[in-house]
Amino acid sequence: MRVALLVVALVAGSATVAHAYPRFQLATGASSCAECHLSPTGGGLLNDYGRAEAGDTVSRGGDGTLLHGLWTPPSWLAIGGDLRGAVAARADDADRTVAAFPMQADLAVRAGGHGLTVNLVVGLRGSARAPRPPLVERLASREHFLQYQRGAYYARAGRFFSPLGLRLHDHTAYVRRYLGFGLAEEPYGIGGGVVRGDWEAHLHAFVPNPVGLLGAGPKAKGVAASYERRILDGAAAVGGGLRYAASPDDTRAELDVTGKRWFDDAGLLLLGEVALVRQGFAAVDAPRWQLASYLGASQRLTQGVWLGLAVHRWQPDLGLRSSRDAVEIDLQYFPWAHVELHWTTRATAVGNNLDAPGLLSLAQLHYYL
Amino acid sequence: MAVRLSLVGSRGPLRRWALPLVAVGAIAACADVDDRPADWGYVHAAVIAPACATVGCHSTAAAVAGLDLSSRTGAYTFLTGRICGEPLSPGSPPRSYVAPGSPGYSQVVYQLRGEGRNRMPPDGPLPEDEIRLVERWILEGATCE
Repeated sequence: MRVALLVVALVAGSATVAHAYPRFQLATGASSCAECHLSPTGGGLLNDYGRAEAGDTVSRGGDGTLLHGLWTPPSWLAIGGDLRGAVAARADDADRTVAAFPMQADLAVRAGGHGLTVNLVVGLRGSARAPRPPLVERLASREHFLQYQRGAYYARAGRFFSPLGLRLHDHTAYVRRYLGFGLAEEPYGIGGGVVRGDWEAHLHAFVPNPVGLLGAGPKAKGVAASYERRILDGAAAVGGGLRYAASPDDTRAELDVTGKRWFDDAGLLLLGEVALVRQGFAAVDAPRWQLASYLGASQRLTQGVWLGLAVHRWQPDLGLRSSRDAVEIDLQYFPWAHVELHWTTRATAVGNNLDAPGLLSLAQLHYYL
Repeated sequence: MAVRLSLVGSRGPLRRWALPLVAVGAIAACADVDDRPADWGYVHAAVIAPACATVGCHSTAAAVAGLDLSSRTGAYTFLTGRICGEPLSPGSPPRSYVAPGSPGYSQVVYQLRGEGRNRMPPDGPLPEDEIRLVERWILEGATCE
């Protein structure tokens, strides 16, 4: 009961939120993710404007360019990457552990010109638990695709996620973890879309990884479509998406709705996502409905410092009371361009058992190239 | 009944929100009776694969402890020591995690609850409903159907 009270105190006593880098979409005055990222669907390598913003508005200063400006790659080449290490402490009714581990070591490369580019993200899978496999076995490429982009339009083929939902950075967020957007669950496929100032739309047809060693996730093929519209002079955005995926074992039909709202005067951003899934099973006629949701608020305390509060909810079967709920507070500090210190604490209740939540506290040091 | 009548007879916001509220209430009041099928095809797709076959754990890529639980037939063999579609032989194969018909003698149940062993999955324990479903599958013979 004391722990339950602690959870309540965490909810009531803090002002804000989430892990999400999508916060920078509206908070920096950008309309779409593609304003700062080279990818039209956002994420990954930053463009020149994004690197300038990293130093000028996102961090507390510094040079956001590659290698802090020591070397400028030729115009046909873009290089970036992420190095991330963490210290985690976890406690629940059965276990208490503290661990330090490498989380991420990715190199991202984009090469080409005249709209045609080869894009690659290659790195080492993180490993929080022993025994850790040899480095060579952990080498993997989460994304690799060929892309053609002309103006607002793009088409690509290769390995990448469907551009659906909030596209949160945190792969443990329930709207990622339980909806097929977990770590290394990128499928292969073809996709395309349009990204304009006030709206964007994407379409993606995918098949599973041909080789299991490349990752994890459902061995499903399917299609996804999404749309987002910016409203209120760019201070808000609403979006929706559909996805259908079929594997030899099951089918999943998903409806996804997102909302984003930036309050400039207060320096406050709200992010929300709700996804309803109907899962059918090949072996038995017993379909179930699932619900994943996320609501986060991020408060910019001062330039380069964000405080957040988020709630996650996952209901694997709406026919049962069972659910997984989490409350999370986090603090992000960008002391200078390229560097991020990120502390997160999450309390998780499983099966509505609020008396004995699991607690996870994670401190990350992140350097992006 | 009084509540229902007041909703039906009201106008404005209360009436507009009545149906969604009833729907949410219906979901919240769902029965505790779990009538889901305890078939392996369901148990694997609904519980084992999403919870255990993640990239850092029992996926093909990582196969921690030599266990790859990503495919339905493969996971069945890893857990029971038996092969899908082949006739069952009496007794439990050595080093199996499941003793058909006997959840109390099945290592996997103790691991899911973290009783005397490291709890699995370590980063997100399963709800009791899901563990009971696995138990029911074992109790009903742990077949591959």
